[in-house]
Amino acid sequence: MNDTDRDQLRQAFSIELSGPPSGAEQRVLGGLDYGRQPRRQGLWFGVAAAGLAGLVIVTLLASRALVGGTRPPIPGSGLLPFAQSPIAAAPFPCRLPIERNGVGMFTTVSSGATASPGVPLQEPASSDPGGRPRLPDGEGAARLTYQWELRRWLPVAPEWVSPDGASYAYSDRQGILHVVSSAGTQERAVNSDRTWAVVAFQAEGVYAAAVSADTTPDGLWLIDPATGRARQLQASGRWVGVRAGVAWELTLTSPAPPLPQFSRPGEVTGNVLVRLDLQTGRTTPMYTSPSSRMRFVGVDAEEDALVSDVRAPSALLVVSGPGRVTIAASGAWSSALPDGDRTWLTDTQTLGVVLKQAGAVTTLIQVDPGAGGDIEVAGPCR
Amino acid sequence: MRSHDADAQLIDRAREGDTAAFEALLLPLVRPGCQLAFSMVRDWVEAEDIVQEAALRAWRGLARLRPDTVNLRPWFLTIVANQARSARRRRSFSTIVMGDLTWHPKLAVAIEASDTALDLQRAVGRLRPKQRNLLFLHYCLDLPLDEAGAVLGISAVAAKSRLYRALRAIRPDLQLTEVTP
Repeated sequence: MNDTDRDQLRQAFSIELSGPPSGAEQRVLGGLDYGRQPRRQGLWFGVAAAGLAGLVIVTLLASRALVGGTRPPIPGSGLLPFAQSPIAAAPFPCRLPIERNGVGMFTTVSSGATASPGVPLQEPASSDPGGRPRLPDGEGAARLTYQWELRRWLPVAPEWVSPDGASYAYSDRQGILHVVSSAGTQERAVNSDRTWAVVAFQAEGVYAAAVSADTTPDGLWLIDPATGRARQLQASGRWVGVRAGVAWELTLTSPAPPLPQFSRPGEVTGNVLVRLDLQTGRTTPMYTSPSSRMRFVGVDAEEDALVSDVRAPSALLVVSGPGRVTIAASGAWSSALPDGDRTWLTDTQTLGVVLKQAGAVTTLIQVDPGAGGDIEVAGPCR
Repeated sequence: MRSHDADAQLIDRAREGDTAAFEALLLPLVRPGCQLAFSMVRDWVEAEDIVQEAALRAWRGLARLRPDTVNLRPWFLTIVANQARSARRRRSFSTIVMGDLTWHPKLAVAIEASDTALDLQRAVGRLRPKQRNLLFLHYCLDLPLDEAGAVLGISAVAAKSRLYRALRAIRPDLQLTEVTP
C-alpha cells in the first residue's frame, strides 16, 4: 500500500482520527475511582440500561414532537424546501428486517418511528442458519431480502423479488438470467442470449439491461420469467430502476459534469434523470443538475424518484415531476425501499424513514445503529 | 516519548499502588483508546466511558501483568476492545429525530465530507468489524501487525492474512475512474 492509498484509507476513518473532544484525558483519568469495582456486564444490566435509555429517548422525542421541529433554511439552489411539520403519527410498531454487515436480522420500530432501544437485534429463525444465504449457483449474496410469507431470507435485493414474493431473479457470473422460486424448490436458467443485469422484477416480468463489454448496462429489456422470451424496450440508455410502470434513466448532458473520483464498478451516475412511461413509451426529462452528477437511490412510496447529488454536501432529492425537486435530507443516502406510506432509506451506517403527506416530505427520522457496518433494509416492516 | 526503562519503572511503581505512575502510563493511551472504542461504538461519550472502565480494569489487573512487560499499549487496548465489544452487545438502536438536519454530529461530518471520502467510507463500512478494526489499528493508530493482532486476540500471521483479505475486499470496490457512459 502506497502513501496515497494509506491517506485515502485514513480518510475513511476521519471521524475516529479527529479524536475525542478535547480534555478526554482529564475526564477519563480525573474521573477514575480507584476504589470502585468494575461494572458487572450482565444481561440485566444491559436490559436496565437500555430500558432507561429508551425512556430518555422517548421523552426526548415526545418533547421535540410537542414543540415541533425547526429546520434550517435550505441553501439557495432553485430547489423547493420541504414541508415543516412535527412528527407525523405512523402505523408502528413493526419488525423491520435489515441486513447489517451481510447478516440478516430484525429490529423493532415502535410508536413514533423510534427503534426500540431495549430490544437487541434479533437473529432471525433464518432459512440459512449456517450463515448468509447463497445464490443457487453457489455465489454469495450481494444483498438480502426477507420474504415474510415464507419466513425465508432470499439472496437478492428486494427489487429483484417478484411483487407477489413467490420468486426472484438473478444473473449468474456468465450473465445468464435465472428465476428461482422463493421457497427454493425451483430454479431455472431462463435466458442466456445476452449478458444480463437485473434491474427489477415486476408483475409483467423481469426488467434487465444487457451489459456491454465495458460492464456498462445498456438498453432495457423485459423478459418473461416463464418462457424466457426477451423483448427490447429501449435500445440504449442506462436504466437504473423500474417500478409501477415507470423506468428511470440517468444520462448526461454534453459537456458532462466531472466524474466522481470514486465509483463502484458498473455504477451509473448522470446529471439528467429521465422518466419512461412503459405504457406509452413517452420519455420525460425530470431533472437536470447542470454541474454535478447524481446517483439513483430508488423510488419512494408515492412513486417519486429519489436521487442523491454526489457533490459535497450530498443531498437526497425527491423528484416528483418535471423540474419539481425537493431536498428531502442531507447526507449520502444510497438505497430506498418503499413500504406502504413510508420509505426506508439507508446510507453507510444509518437507517432512516421518510414519511410524506400530500406529496411533501414531512418527516425524516434517522435511526443510528451505533456500531459500524453497512446497513440495508431487507423488506417491509411488519 | 518515554523510554522502555522509564515505562518499566512506572509499571513497577503502579504495581505498588502508585496511582500517579499508573496515570502517567495511561495518559498517552487515552486518546488511541478512545479512538479505538469510538470505531466500535460510534459515540465519543460512550467511548470515554469505555476507556475509563478499561482503565479501572487495567488498574485492578496490574498484578496479573507479566513481570517483563514494558509496553502497556497492546494490553490496554485489548481491554478497551473487549469493553467496547461488551458495550456494543449491550446496546442496540438509538433514535434521532431530524427536525434539525444539522443537529446530529455525524450528519454534519457527512455534509463536510467529500464524495471520495463517503465512497471510501462506504467501502470500509462494508467490511466485517474484525477487518475494519484491524485496518484502524494498523493504518490509523500505526500499531505493528503483531501488536494489532494481540489487541484483537489473533496471531501476527493471522493479522497479516486478515489485513490482506480486508484490503482485497476494499480494492475491487473502488476504482479511480468511472465507467465511461
